[in-house]
Amino acid sequence: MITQCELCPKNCIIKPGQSGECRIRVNIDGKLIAATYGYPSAAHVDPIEKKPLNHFLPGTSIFSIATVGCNLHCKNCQNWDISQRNPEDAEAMALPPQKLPELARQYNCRSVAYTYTDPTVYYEYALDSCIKVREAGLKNVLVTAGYINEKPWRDLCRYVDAANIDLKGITEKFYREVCDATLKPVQDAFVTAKAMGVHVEATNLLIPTLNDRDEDIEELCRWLKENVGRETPVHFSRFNPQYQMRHLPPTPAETLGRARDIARAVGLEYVYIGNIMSEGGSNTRCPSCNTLLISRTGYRINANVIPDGKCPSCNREIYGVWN
Amino acid sequence: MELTRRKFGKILAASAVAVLSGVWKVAGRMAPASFIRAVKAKSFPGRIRALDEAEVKGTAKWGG
Repeated sequence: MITQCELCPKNCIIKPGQSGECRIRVNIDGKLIAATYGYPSAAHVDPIEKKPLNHFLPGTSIFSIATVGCNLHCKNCQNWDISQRNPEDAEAMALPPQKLPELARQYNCRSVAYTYTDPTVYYEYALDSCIKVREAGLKNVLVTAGYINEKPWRDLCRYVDAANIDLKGITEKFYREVCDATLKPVQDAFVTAKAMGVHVEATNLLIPTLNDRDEDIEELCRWLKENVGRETPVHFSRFNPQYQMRHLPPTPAETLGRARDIARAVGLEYVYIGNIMSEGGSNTRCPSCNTLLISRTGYRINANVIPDGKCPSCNREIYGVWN
Repeated sequence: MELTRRKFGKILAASAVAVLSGVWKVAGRMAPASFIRAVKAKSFPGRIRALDEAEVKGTAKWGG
């Protein structure tokens, strides 16, 4: 019997013995099977700033996992060797959800990240893991493109503490041509997550000639400010030629600086530059009095003067989870 | 037995109902069964390896 997977907006119709576009949701005898449940192909202890999250438990380590597979097929994917791999061609470790809190603690991590590929496709594994992790008193973090249908997204967000959601562009054209996806569900995912109390940060990878026009950057920032909030931290990330986009150059540092200026002019309060070493690009400053709150070099924290989430100079509340 | 216009109409209607119900059943079998949640696989289709402590401790080469 043919099945239809209604997890993400692709709503794949899957014939027996075949998988959806994500490669890991398979029709076996008319049932939809999660082929990678409990079998991540990556497990690492990363600095939380690498996700990137700059306003969520800064300076801590995060136990990070991913299975193979993704519902998007971004031509610039920097993780394509894991995201675009079939499970039968992959190596994986047996890590059932109940084992994750124990491992996280063993490696001194206060949180677990579902990352590298997209947790929305290894949904059942991520959801069950989130429940176990939260029961153990640890935090859950999603790093996602947010391309998921409303109902499953809501069910997952109930157990998620923080999410870095990619806003890959602000036009349908970009999402269709570069990511093989659509924009609206991603925007909906942002709004829903924020409304459900998830700490949200946004990432926008700037690709030369494709999404780096000033007008596009301004529109993206305006959308974020009006729909997710001016306090939402935004990370402009540098593109490096990868996968099916090796013909384009890396994003020039000036473009990233320009994006930061535009975002600030639009009114976003916390703007960062990532994937590149830049003077002050990853520092956190108070939006009211410009006091340097967290000084960073790459993913390393040099100084942090807001352990309680308030600016020590003007006492302004700084958006985030600090303890 | 004489086939009156009324009897012919009844036979025609009954045939139409029979054909349509057959079509409905076949269409029902052909229509995909919809799922949001998938069921956990009994086994992983790829190769399984042990967790490598040294690898876990190191920062991932992947973004995110």
